[in-house]
Amino acid sequence: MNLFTEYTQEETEYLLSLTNNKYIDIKKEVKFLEDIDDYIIDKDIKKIEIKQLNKKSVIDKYEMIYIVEGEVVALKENKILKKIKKDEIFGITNLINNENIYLVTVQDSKICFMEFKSKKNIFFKLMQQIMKKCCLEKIM
Amino acid sequence: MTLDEFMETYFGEIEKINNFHFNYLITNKFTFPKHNYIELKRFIDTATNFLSDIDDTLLKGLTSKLYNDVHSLYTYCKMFKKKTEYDEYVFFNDYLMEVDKYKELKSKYELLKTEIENYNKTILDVEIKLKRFKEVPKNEKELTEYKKLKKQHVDSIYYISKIKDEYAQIRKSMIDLENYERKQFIPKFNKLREINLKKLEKIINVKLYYYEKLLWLKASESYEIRKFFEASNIDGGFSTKTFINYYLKNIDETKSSNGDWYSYLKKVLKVIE
Repeated sequence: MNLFTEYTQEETEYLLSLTNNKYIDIKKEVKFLEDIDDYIIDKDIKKIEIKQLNKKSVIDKYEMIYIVEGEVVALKENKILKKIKKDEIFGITNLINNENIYLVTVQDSKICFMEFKSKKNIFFKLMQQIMKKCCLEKIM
Repeated sequence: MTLDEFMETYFGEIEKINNFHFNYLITNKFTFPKHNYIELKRFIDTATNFLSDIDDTLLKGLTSKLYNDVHSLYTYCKMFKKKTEYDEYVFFNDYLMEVDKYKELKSKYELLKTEIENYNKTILDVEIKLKRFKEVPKNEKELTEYKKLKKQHVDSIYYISKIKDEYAQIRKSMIDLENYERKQFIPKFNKLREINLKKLEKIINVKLYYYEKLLWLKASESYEIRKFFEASNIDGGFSTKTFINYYLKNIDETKSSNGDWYSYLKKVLKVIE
């Protein structure tokens, strides 16, 4: 019986991220758009910049998610690691006290810290739409 | 040993554990949940076992480390509660025996008790021997023996009455000291017990809260568990609440063996709502 379990810095940061990564109950907590066609997706969005968070070790650990030509992809060092299929996205929520930073939960991937410096509204809506489709497919 | 020294030794271990974990949680700004997750522990254990059976890779790495951490602290907490449940028992068996003055009195008391027992035995032996003489012997040799026994009898009765007075006095001093020490000990002991247990429970609550979140995050990432949720038509996302509702739906409450489990699930559902 170990009564003095110690956690590494990395483990501690991961645990702390859990309270911010509020797992979304898709049906209840996400307000879906009525119709995505009501919104124009800005075709100019090629890439959304990611702010280097103070704790670089955290951000290095995880894949980055970008929108490239309208598709959600995971990028590392400007190379597309993989395209993320819509049914792989499980949750998106903004971090407490920082409305510009979101957490995205992706199947078999880790949590991605993102900051949307511009067009965040459109991106978020796009993500919501992807999740809505994913949710509907699951339910159906 | 003084009362303060005793308390410091007795609560030393739990205080060390509490400080270690509390400092970690505070320094790293962990969230302290409003809900009492300790009440949920029984269900969290069930969910852990259930989900691990579906995907045996669920409990690995940090998930396993945190689960074992919570389990160790919870077991320790239960043991500590049991050990300290009866304050009178701790007072008599652990504390009083360490009070120097009491130890001294008790040692004298035991000595006198043995002496009294020995004199009683002597008196009984002498009385048996005296009974052999139906009257005062006339034979000189027998008379000497008779007188010797009589003297021994009288002496023993005299000594025993003297010792008994001292014995009663020591017993009274012991009782007075017991009462005095009890008055000091019980409130202090119970206060420290409560403070330390509350702190430990708070720590366990935070760790259980994080474990519960981690468990469902890992469950949601598991292909096997997602498949199970789909196949079982479990509706409402990966969470304890969803899973309790799933259990409640499938429980046969008419079976008496399920009664306790059913009431428990209903109760804990209210905790997280």
